[in-house]
Amino acid sequence: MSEALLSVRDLVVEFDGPRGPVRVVDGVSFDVGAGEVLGIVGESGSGKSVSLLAVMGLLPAGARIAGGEIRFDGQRIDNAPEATLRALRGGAVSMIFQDPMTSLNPVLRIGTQIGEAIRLHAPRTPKPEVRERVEALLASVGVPDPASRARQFPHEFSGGMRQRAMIAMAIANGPRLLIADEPTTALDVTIQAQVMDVLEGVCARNHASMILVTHDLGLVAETADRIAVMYSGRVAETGPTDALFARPSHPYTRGLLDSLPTLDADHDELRSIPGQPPDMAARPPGCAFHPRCALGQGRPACSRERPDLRTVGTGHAAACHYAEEAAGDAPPREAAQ
Amino acid sequence: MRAPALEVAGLSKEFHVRKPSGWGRRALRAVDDVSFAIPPGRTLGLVGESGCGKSTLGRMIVGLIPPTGGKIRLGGETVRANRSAAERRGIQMVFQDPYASLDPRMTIHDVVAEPLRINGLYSAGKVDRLLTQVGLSPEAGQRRPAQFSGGQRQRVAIARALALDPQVLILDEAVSALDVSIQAQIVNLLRRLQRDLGLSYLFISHDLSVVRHISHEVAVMYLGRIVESGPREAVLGAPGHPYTQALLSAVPSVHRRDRSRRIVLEGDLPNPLDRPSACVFRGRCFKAAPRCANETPALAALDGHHRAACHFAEPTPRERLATLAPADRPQEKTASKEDHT
Repeated sequence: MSEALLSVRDLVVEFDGPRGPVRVVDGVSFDVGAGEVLGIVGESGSGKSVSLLAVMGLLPAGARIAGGEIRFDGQRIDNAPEATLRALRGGAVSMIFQDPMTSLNPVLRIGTQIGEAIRLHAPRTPKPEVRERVEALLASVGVPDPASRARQFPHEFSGGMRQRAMIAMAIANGPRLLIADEPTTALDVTIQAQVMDVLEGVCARNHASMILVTHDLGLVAETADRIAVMYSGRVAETGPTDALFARPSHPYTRGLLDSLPTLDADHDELRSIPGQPPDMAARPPGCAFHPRCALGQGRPACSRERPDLRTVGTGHAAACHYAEEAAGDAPPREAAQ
Repeated sequence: MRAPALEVAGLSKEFHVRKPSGWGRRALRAVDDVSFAIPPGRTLGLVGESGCGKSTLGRMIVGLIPPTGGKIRLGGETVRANRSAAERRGIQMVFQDPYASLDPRMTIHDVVAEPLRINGLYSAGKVDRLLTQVGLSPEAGQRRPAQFSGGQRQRVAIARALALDPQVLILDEAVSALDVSIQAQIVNLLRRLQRDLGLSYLFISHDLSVVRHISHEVAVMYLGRIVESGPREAVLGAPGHPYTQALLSAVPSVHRRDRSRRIVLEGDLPNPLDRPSACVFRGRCFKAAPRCANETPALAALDGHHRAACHFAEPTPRERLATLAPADRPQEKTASKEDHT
């Protein structure tokens, strides 16, 4: 791959906890190439959203980047001054959040809010031109009758329409990277299908890259070129979408796929992953997944040594001491209680 | 044949909403003439998108809100508007959000004991047995909800619902808030409890894959009405109603990654205050014809138990759903239909 558009190396993010700092993101690396869609999958608390907030420079108070580096288009941005980040956010990089109702201002008209995004980066744009651009943006995300819809308030929009308005706002300044954090989780499936079509169309037309953060494996399978699976603040497995689903090489990825009921097959019992995700403040030693892992039972390496990502195929890497075994036929796992 | 554990007939609910002008009220039909029966030990999966009335239906059955019309029968006996203690015990509910449905100041033991104490049936041993039954240790009873993860809290909610030996459990999005690996544990637990205790479930969810896994029969709701119902293999394997067809084709799957095979519906769910006349789905339907605006389609049999409320119902195997979509649908994902509006 040529120079990546976004490159994250060994990112560490710490939060202040009652008993000292807690490492919520613990050495995460990933790249996003130009025009590429990277899917980041993980369960709640795996650190996927926090990693991306760090990229945007939007970490909440009490959290800090404690290591690693983030480069956008070759430039370090993890230690950049606030002014640089502000120019970047909503400009070259923009973000779409899960819940459009809480990210839109309820007392401002939709058009005003999108116009704000335009004027923030080009303050001298004349009003009529802003209005024209707002209407064109709304039309481009499939909002019917944009001129009158721009004058409405968020509560007059349905969930799907609100998310379209958020997308319009995010692409107002022609971003090169869109970060979509669970963009369709709050929407129904038929509306999700519409919104994903809009998102992909927008990226293709603007030649933008996208990071799609989600817990929905089906959704990334359809959308992403490459996938990173996160577990307990680290990347457990990463690879091209096809390879990752054809040959999952981390027991956690395998477990996730096994625990999904599908529309195609009958299962008597779902193969669940036993136990709970670990507490970030008290991660198990060695591999954080080993207490729940079917392969690790009793093997000393798993509880002693933290596995790093190892190449298991072209562009495909897994952080497991026994990745080859995980990729092959997994041994029968005891059904969870 | 034994009487169904739960039967509802013609159940309806109208809410009265103040008009925007502030003068007068309008009726909102949240649930419109819904009928079904669940035999003992079986599960009916109820699917539909937000606002379709599926939760209102569940709440009426459990007695949280009074129905406007229709009947609820528990084990063949009609449940009166003023429920007896036995009738209230017979139907219990598990809610979606295990973070909101447990009192944070009570211990787990007290949470599970509360319904027993109210009914004068409390014994510490019974609570311990209930906790063991859902895969928690009796010692866990001394802790409080905050010390538990989402999956464990949902186990507590299930133990509480089981405390009064109900025949019917209403599971309203009971696994939707959980991560996949935990969701599978709870789904397995629910199936085991059903086997062991002979419970009947009304499993309300928007997740078709989970519904298919846990249900024997499936009913699909749209704007307050059941538009299709039947054995799960029929409804989810060869759906007949265009809405079910679109819903199924829109579910992203790890195994079927070809996006062009989707039926993308136009538009949003209509406002339930302005429901279309006759067929409620016609505004978004790819099969809509003039007849749909004049004649309300009845829930008619397609094949045995499999029924659909559509004039043009045509059971189609799931693999061939895409062939039903309108021909002018953009094939390339880059050229979305919005471009030429």
